Amino acid sequence: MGANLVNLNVNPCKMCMPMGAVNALCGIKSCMSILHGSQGCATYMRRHMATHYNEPVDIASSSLTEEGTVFGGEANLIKGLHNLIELYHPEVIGVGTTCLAETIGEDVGGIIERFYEQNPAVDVKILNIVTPGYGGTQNEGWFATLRAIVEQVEQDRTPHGGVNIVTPMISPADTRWLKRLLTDMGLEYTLLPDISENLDGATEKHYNKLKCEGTSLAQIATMAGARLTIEFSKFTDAHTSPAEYLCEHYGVAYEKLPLPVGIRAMDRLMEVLKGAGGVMTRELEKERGRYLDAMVDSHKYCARARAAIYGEPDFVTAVVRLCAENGVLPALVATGSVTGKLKVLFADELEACREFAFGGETVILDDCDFSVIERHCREQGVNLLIGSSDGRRIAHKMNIPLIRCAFPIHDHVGGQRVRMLGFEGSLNLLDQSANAMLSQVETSFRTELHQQFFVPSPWEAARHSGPAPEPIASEGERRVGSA
Amino acid sequence: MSNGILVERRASIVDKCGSGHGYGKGKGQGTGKNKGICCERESVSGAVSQRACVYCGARVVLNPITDAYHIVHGPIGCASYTWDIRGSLSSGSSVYRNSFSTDLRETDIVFGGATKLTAAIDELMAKAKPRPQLIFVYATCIVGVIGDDVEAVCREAERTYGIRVIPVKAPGFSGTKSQGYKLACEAIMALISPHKEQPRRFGVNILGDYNLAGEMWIIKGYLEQIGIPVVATITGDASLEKLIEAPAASLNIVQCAGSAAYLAERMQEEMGIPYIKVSFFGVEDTTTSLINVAKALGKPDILGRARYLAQMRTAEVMPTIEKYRSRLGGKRAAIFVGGGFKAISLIRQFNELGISTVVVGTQTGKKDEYEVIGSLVDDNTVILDDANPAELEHFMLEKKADILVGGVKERPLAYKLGVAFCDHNHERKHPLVGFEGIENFIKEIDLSINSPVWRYVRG
Repeated sequence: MGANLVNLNVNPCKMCMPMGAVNALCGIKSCMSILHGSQGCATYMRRHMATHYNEPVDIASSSLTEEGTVFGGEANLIKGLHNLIELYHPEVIGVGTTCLAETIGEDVGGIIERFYEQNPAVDVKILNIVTPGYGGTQNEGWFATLRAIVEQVEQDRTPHGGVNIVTPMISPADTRWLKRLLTDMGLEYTLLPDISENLDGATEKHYNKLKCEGTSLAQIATMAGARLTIEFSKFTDAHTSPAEYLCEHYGVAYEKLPLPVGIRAMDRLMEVLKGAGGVMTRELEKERGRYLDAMVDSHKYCARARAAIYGEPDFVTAVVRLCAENGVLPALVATGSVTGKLKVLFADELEACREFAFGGETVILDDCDFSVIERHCREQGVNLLIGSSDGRRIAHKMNIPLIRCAFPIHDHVGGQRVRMLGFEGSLNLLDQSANAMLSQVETSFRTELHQQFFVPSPWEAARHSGPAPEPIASEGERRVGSA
Repeated sequence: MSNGILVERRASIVDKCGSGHGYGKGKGQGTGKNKGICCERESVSGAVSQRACVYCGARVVLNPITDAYHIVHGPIGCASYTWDIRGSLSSGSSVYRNSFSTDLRETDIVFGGATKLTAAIDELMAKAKPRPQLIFVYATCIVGVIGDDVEAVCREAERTYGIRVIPVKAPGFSGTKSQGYKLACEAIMALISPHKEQPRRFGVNILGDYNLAGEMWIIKGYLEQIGIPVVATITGDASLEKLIEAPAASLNIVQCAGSAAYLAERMQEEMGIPYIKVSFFGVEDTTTSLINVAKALGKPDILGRARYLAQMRTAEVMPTIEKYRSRLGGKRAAIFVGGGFKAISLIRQFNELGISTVVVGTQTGKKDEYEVIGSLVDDNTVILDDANPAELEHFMLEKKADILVGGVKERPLAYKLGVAFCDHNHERKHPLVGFEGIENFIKEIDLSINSPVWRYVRG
């Protein structure tokens, strides 16, 4: 390709809103999702999720036809709801819209109401989730879904001492870590959503096609009575934040924190959790200590890294902070979302990084694609990529390592087991970064140094081809010579 | 509903032993012909079909054209989910491995996206290297709804730049994936029709092979070895320059009938090029295909060479087949693939290995293909069109399948059920066609079916 294009997205660094919806709905107990639109949307997303999570993911489609598109897809959606209930017996159904449903102006709320009217015996909670494919990325779709859930599940305001935890898209393994942390600290909690089991299921005697783990509606209904909501996002606002909704309608206090990656974010989380009644355990203190020890062990290797970090806004935020703490220069920070605030958010972090690196440039890109990322990677001399497997083509072309730690991961197994949260998760990411640098040096230093410094001995050469060269004269020798 | 089968889906399922599921039964049909499985229909809403959409069908057929710029006009998703997902290889350009999208946003939906599309093409022409000679513009779901005249934009661009800019109006809702195949064939016709007056020469076009893991090169190699020149490959490892020579060929051979038979029909009608269907999966089909191509060309010397090549290569792979047959014989296979023709070849391949096919389904099989399938399998087999995960689960367990052959989406389901799996999809990185492919296929079947992991998992 030649220069970057402004009217065309070339190699997308994002997916569409419904992808966020179907991922988030996998974290709700006994929930099925149906996308109101063409058949392909559901299938594409299932394929992406199947290779990343290595887990069966069943997503229904209302399979809109030409007729449905012209005259409205109500009949299709209603039939789809019936069939889904008959096949899976879900307790919850999330109806996600698509670009098609939104463009033809489907009144999904009205259709759901009529479905209930026609079927009074149906005891399934049907959620109306607005996720037009043109309205944002999977990240916005994810939060739109969580917001719709807290808005549409009837809340019980009875106060209790628990906390609500709202996460952006994180891996099942990281979700399990988060749950264990809260339990270890003695906290009652509601996690929204909880994909830990449903997208990283065990092999069992009988396979259940309905995903029966995850956060139940009953748990979600208690969110209004919690003492605090912790939302791990710096990018939600009054319209998209579940925490702000719970605060505005039920007076639940909230804290918006960065994802707990790196020492500052973890310390901040500990502080907030302690404030909410959590108890710091001896084991956590030891983990923290080990993490500090490891930071020191690898700091000189990390300092060689010039990283490009790309992906969802909260993911890149967390990784940038980790890099800053460990002397990695985030030479390029990129997201496919439109946030408008990355530059402001990272100003201090990156200033400190540049200072440590004696200058150097840090590029921050909103709303970008991989063709732009590739150009900047080359210009910036990036030697480490951190993000989804979509960066593998750049890694291959530039012959630089890629740490796969974000959705989607298509070319490796283990997407469901990515660990980057907490002290141990951060350490995992840190070790991978340091080791990537060590491998680069290990495989290249002999050749590089040989090329740089080795010259055949002049005397050796002279024996074959003439008189030995004159050595350079010292200052004293020059004085003697001139006298 | 305890068996997980929706009433509306029953007509698309035929259980040859007719064990009383309440859906179509083929009992007593000694010829194996099942009476009218319901197929070639739109998917049932809410049934969780494994099919993709019209756009997908069009994109996968055209995408392997290596030097084409494939612009997806619509919101980002469609481009994102189809970016370089298939393993089509190229001996030349790699432009096709990029994903171009107009990435329509809210304002474009309100005010229309045609201006953005025009600007995108203009920009591509000004900046892209190499300079585009061929652009496909895929109109996805909402493009027609918001009133963009994609055809006019493409016409205008062709006029301005003197290159080919071909619209592919493929809104996802306008039919099934097969409709997309048809649209792709029409796009290819639009591309090659202006060149139909060129002089004929002896040689074939290979249609419906997408050069996954170099498969086109393998087939082309066989043909060239027996003295048959290949004029154009459609669309595996194709380029504009080679494609427009296609009308010069004396015969079309069609590997994937589901996606390319329509193109062959059109080329026969409008260019007078006859065609035959072939399949290069398995010893039997590969041998038959080589002989049939030679016969269709009417050259005895080529026929002789075809027979010799097939015999020689068969003799080479037989020891492998024999070696594995003892480990694989008596196993039961389930098949769920895209098209009927591939399913037929797979059943034959399993027969060669002594494996019986107990479940066989396709996403977009045709009536005549299901009839052939019915004649090839025994009475304990269930046949499904457009099956969903619930049905695959039910029948794989009921029929005690040892292995499933399918695509990426089916893999985790098979594993969860303790069933081995063979990737026969478009992302694979090893060839499965021809004699080379037979070895790969057998080895993959064996390494999954006989893996030690099952001993512990199924415990």
